[in-house]
Amino acid sequence: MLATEVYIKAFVDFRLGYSSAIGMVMALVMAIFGAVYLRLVARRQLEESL
Amino acid sequence: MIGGIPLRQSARDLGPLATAAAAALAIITLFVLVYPTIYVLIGSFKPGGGLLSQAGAFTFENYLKIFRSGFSRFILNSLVICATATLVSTLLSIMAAYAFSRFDFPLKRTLFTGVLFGQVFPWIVLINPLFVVFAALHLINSYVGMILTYTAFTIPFSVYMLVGYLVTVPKSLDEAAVLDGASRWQVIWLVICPVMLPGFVATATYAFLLCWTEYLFALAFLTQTDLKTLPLGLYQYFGDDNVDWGAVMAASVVTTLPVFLLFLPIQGGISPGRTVGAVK
Repeated sequence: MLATEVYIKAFVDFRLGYSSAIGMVMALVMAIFGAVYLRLVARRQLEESL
Repeated sequence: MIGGIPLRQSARDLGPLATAAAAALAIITLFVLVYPTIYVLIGSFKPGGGLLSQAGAFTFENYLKIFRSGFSRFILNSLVICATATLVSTLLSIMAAYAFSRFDFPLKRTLFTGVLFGQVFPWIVLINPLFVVFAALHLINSYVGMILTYTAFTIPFSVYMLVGYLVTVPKSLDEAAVLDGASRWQVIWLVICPVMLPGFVATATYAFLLCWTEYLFALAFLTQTDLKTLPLGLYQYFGDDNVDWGAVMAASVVTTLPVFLLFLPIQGGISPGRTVGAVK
């Protein structure tokens, strides 16, 4: 799993830069999914809630 | 109706084959969910931790072993960290959710979109920068560091959930309280909070469970044995060469038990309909 890999690279292998790079890729992938989620699902919830 | 057949059929209207299939699916699902729990529970009373090994044997040795090795300290650590983080996060979220549901202010939609995005954000990405900052602030190996982390971790979800509950509370309830001379603080804590109690309990419960089961942040920020939380304590029974399955099973049961003991008594508080008849 990427999340575990972020931890292992940073705190076991002490490669903070490499670990951060994995983290950024992970964030990017999740940002794409997050944008899709916000556009398709959350917009309606946003209208109802606010 | 499609072709004379009603769209929604009750279970009574389903054919025997469909009913049998639904029952089989329910039993399989139940088995998949319940079997591991029963396995862990029974295994915790077996010397080797397995169901089939030493079938007749029954022992409390696994429980005695984990408590002799200081497992109670991990329970205390988890309780202090998770309860404090849940309390702080719920209190902050109540105020944020109230503002989102009752007031209009600049960038409201953008900020709420940020809250929603917080739910899909992979928090583990922040582990490196947080570690560097916490190390500079001497918050590694401290309750405060973990409480801050878990509070931040649970706030987006709590705000989102509470806004959902707050929109169901009529605004006229606030207006009536304001007309009676209550300040905004009094409206939140004396009028909205009692009405919203089921929502708060549900939100706090879920926030607590998120903290209770969190592993990676605790692994990174807590290296001192006497400060470790339950998931870390559980992992110590997985050795490099062999696994003490009996202790793992007993520790798993003990990890699950406080959650039941804490939340079963307050389950009655989660009942809807508190706003019924609040305003005319």
